[in-house]
Amino acid sequence: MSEKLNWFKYSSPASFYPLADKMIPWFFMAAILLTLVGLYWGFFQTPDVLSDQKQYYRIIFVHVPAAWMSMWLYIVLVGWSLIGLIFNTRLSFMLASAIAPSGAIFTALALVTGMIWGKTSWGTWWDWDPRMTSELILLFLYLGYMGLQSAISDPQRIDRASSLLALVGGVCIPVIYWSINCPDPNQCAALHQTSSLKGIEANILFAMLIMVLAFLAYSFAIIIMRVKNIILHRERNTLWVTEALEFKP
Amino acid sequence: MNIEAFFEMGGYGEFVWSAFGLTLLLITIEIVVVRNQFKKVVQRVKRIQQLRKADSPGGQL
Repeated sequence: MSEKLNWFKYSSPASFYPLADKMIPWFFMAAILLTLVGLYWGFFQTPDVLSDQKQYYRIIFVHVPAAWMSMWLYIVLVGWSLIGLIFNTRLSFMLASAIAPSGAIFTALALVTGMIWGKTSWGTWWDWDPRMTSELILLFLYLGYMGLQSAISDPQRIDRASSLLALVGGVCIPVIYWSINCPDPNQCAALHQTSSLKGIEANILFAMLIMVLAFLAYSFAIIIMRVKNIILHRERNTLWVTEALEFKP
Repeated sequence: MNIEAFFEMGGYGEFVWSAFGLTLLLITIEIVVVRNQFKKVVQRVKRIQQLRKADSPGGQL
């Protein structure tokens, strides 16, 4: 075999960096296009399925995507932390720490849009119901992860300590999921409705899923942008960084 | 649907639009912050390179 496929090629920051540069505009374009389609469909192609009195349901087009991203990004963060701990690859840790701020923002958005929705449909901004409480804990996990990272100066210790925190905090994800989807409804004191996709009108569901894809594309774009900054910062003393910035205005 | 009814959202306009507005606001802030971080880190790397050049006698890294 003369040519061997190198699976670890893009796990080195030096070879990932130029690739990242090329990907960002595509993900941003995808995010913008999907948002336009999703919002158009969500506002103009949804016949007034629910009575005119309940148009606040349209908050769903930002609330659900934000909530899904908040959980999904945490799972990805834990995944990269785990890969980093096992294979000791620098880029994995950098990706994990690039995810955290976006995850925190989506979690905050899910909470705030949920509060706005709750005010209209439940009549209260906040209630300590299992879903809200566990999502709030997720926000604190993201913030704790970020705080821990900025409290330590040695990169290797940052990676190990914060990865461990992320792993332990992972227990929060199933709790959030089952806080509303528990098998026995009598045991859930949740105000929040269950996350069944079956009861949703097809046009609303379509618009919502398109918005989820839009948020996903945006997450890719912003996280790759942020990981570039982290790469440049951490590898600032290497020759390839010098070279990479030399030919750029 | 006329424009006024659209913005009214059946009487829930302020709720719906504040949810969408907040989303737009936070995402815009995020993009601006990340872009500023990029400018800062590039400046810092270039500064380090200048200092290194000044430090080494032959002007080499």
